[in-house]
Amino acid sequence: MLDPKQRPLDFRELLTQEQEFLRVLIRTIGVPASDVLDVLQDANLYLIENQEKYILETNFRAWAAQVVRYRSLNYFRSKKRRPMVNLSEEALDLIAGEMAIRFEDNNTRLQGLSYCLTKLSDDQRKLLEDVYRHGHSIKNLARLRKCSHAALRKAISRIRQALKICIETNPEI
Amino acid sequence: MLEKTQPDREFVELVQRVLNQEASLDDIAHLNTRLPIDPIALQYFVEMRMLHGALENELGSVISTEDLSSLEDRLIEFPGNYRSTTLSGLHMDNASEPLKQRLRFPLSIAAALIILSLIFIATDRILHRPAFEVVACYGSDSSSRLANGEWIRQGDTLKLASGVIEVRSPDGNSLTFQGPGDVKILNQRHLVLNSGRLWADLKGDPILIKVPRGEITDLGTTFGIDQSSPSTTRVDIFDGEVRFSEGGDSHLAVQAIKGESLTSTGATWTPEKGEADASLYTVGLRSPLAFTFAADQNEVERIESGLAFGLQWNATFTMAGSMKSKESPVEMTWAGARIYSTGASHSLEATILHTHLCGFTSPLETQQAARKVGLKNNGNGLIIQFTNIDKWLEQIGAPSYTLELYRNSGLQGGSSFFYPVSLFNGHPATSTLLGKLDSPKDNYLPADHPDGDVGAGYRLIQQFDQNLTANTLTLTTPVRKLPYRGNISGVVLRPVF
Repeated sequence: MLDPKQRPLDFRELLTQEQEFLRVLIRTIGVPASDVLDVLQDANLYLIENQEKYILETNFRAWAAQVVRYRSLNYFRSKKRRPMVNLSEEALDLIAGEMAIRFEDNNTRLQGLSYCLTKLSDDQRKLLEDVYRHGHSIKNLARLRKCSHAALRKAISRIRQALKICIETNPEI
Repeated sequence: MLEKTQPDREFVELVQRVLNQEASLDDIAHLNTRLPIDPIALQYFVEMRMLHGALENELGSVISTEDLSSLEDRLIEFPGNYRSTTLSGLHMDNASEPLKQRLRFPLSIAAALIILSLIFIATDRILHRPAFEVVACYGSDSSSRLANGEWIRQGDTLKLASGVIEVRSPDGNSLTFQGPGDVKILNQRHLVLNSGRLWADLKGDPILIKVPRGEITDLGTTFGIDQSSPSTTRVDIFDGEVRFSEGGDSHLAVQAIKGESLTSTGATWTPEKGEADASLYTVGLRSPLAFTFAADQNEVERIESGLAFGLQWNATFTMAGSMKSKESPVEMTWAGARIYSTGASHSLEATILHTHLCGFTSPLETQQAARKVGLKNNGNGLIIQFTNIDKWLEQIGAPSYTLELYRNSGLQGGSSFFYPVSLFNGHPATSTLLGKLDSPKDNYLPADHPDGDVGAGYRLIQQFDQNLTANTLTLTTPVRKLPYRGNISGVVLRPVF
């Protein structure tokens, strides 16, 4: 009997295994966080309905990533999103490909994010919370904090850069 | 060893704007061009998007990994009933059913309120759709403090106490509004200019602009409207055709074409025709900055009233000095031996080319002339310096620029040649040489060019073959020694988006 560890995963197991990747991919492509699960559901439905098109033991992630890209484009069209938030199909393809290759590495590094957030000053942490937790736009935040838009944009940019460096150099990961 | 994945500063800033939801149309266009050709940029973009998503999960209230359990409920609708094989291993707890019952009524009220709010927001969004994106601002003191990348919505009124704002619609129409004044944006194709000056460069759908003395309809064109005086409306046409009508129940209308102006003033509506004058307007903040040397004040006025080579020129007739460009912080400082004119002025383009700044024959002379205008010179024929370029690039949201030179040898026939022009990042005495713009020994403008005439020297338009980012840019040529000449008629800094 084949060792379960050696046995190729069936369609259901592959789909389950890739849910986190697909969710992150949809968000990375630019679907708003509030709609990510809807697009994921739509993609899951398509994948299940078309599972006979998948050839076992080929690259499931690459196939699923293409489906997600396609379903995300459908989403953008259905929402008639302004062109300023739309990337070209070629760019979306490239992002999906890059994600498929580097997802594990990037995701492993991001596990150090909680630790890196503790390295921020209180002010930096508060600023990030205002943006990410309270959903303030940079413009609104600049008005509330009575500082310039450019200065605030730079501050947030520096924090993101610092976090990127931290997760890339964190020895705990 | 970590792989180096940091792209250039401009791209890093572009990605930050994407994450901040402040990306402009240009940003997205740049991203679409850059990602396919730059693997480092692609990797960086993906990493930052993933970091952004992880921050949302870590700090925000958006969907997180744990929320994937809710997928179970969604998958129940799938053919093949995947509910029996849960994705996360979590199941609904039936014991919570009574709690759900108790919460049903308040939740219904909350849901109804949310739906009403959404309807209100949706209605507001439909009525106030984005119409024009702000793409550049200069010295503007608008009541709303608009910044690049923001959108002006239908129904908004743009009021400027001073300064200039350039906006663009998604279909490619570009409008540059000069304060003081106010303009109401009814929608992308219908505006009301109450006061101020408006430059329109229309590549998209036709638009109609209401002014106090009537209506102006574009017929695929480039034009300016001067409404700086309440009792006078002036339209200057530089391309295509414009129709100026009295509006209302009146059927009075006049059409004008490229090179003409229409001015309606006083008690009678009927506009008078005249020559178009570009010097009244700021011809787009994102347009190239063009500087040229002219023979005298009359020639300066002639150059500035037209758009030679499609550019708005800043002209001077002095051999050394300093000049700030129109509606940009960029300043040109120069020192040369003399201004020399050769050739006729059959066209405005010829006028740009035929007058030029000549270099000195002795390094000492150049040093003395340069010192008088605050420039250090280590012995070149002529020197031209541009400063504050960073501020200009920031103002218009461009990451870099290119450089074009307009030149005239000053002598006919095969008796003269051009010297190469050296470009320095900063000042030549203290900074690095960016490169030399070599000149060909042929391929000059042909003799049958409209400006060709007795006395016309060799003329040349050439471009430095690289995108520049220097904040201070200096051009020098060797000291003049026949048959070589370092003459420069004009310089154009063209932004790259």
